Amino acid sequence: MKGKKSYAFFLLIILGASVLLLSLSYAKESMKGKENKGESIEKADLRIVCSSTCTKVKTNEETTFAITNLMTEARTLALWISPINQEEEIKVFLNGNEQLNLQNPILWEFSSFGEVNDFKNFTILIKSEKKTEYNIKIEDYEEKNTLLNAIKIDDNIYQEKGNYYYYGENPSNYILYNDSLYQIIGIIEEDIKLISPVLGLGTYKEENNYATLKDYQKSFGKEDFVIEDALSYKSWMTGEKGFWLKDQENNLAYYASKYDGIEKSVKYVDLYIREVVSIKKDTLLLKGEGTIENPYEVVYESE
Amino acid sequence: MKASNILKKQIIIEIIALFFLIGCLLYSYLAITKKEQNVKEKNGIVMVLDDTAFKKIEPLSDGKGFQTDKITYTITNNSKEIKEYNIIVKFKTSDDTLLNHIKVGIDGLYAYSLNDLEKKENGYILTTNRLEQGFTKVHVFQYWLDNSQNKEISKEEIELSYELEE
Repeated sequence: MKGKKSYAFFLLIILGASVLLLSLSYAKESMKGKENKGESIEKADLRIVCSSTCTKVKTNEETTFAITNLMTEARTLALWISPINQEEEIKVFLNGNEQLNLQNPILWEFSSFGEVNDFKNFTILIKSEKKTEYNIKIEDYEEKNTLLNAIKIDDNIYQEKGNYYYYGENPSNYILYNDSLYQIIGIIEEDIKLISPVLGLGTYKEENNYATLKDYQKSFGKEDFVIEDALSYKSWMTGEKGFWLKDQENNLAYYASKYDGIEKSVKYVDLYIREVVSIKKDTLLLKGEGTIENPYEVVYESE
Repeated sequence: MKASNILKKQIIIEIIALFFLIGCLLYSYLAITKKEQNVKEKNGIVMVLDDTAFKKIEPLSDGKGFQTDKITYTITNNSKEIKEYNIIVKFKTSDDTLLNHIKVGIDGLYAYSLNDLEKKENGYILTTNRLEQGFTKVHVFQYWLDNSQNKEISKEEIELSYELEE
């Protein structure tokens, strides 16, 4: 019994001493202080190093990204910032330069790993009155053949706050819709808006979908447009025949006319009707150039 | 006989425990008495330089340059106030024209030609930072030559020294 007690006692001493020594050593090794560091990720043959996190950017805090293409072939990368809310006032700066078009990604060309230009770095700063975060996505850029892309690169496009409007006297904005030749107003509020040719005469009806006064004004492509400008400038939407617009004032409805410009009328008279429809912005483009001889042909959702 | 077997087991266990204790003693001795190489302290800032991995500077693209041997410079602010500092690197080489072709990678984020960096006291400012009390920052520096060069420089041919300036 006595022997058993001694054995247990000595074992306890030995193990206790061991634990104490290990604790002292561990304490010494961990005395490094708090460390602040960024993030580094490798995915899809890309190495991305960031001064904070690589997938989110906080507003009003500059973040630096460094990207290396690890593939043995050249590639184009796209940087997407989301969500972009049209209603929010934000400014995005890339390397100190303001980015005006926030709907499109920022693109970079990379050469293959080991060649000059296999590495790029940049800083992003999103200025906003709100304290929030935006998502950052960096991926290979795939150019899809969509109507949206065709519109955005057109020479006769006027861009304002994320919306795109065709302007001018004769842009290439013709499109086949319902076996008729419609025209594209532009990309407005995330959809592509089309306007029909004249469909007939009729009085103003609330339930009809006419072009808005704003749609018509933007088709002139003039900043600070005033109603009087409709007679001084040219628009592709102005036809020989006056047609109803959606907006009203004092129970009078607006209409657009080559001879009257933009005017208001009582609703019970007959004016020409042009219908407005919206199609999805990811509508695929089959063929065409948007000219009247070679209009765009697209894949509509029901097909 | 039975008691003898029990005693044997106890002795074996005690021996194993003793060996374990000796091992802990050795580990603790090494951990506690280990002296860091290249450790300096100045006004409450501890700086530890580790350039043991650095062997040479060779012609590489920027992407490959960031995969080359790293030199780490760990700064710990043990003072009671926020510290702002510059890290300055000085080169000593028999051929100064080489300096025009050296590129430096900083913290995996920035790639500069040496000539792009601000010069100070016969050296180049690699980075300027601000460190709060109790915080540690690890800086990583990498060196390579731009693609116009076709030879490498060994560690012995080029002497690098670092200074911390507040």
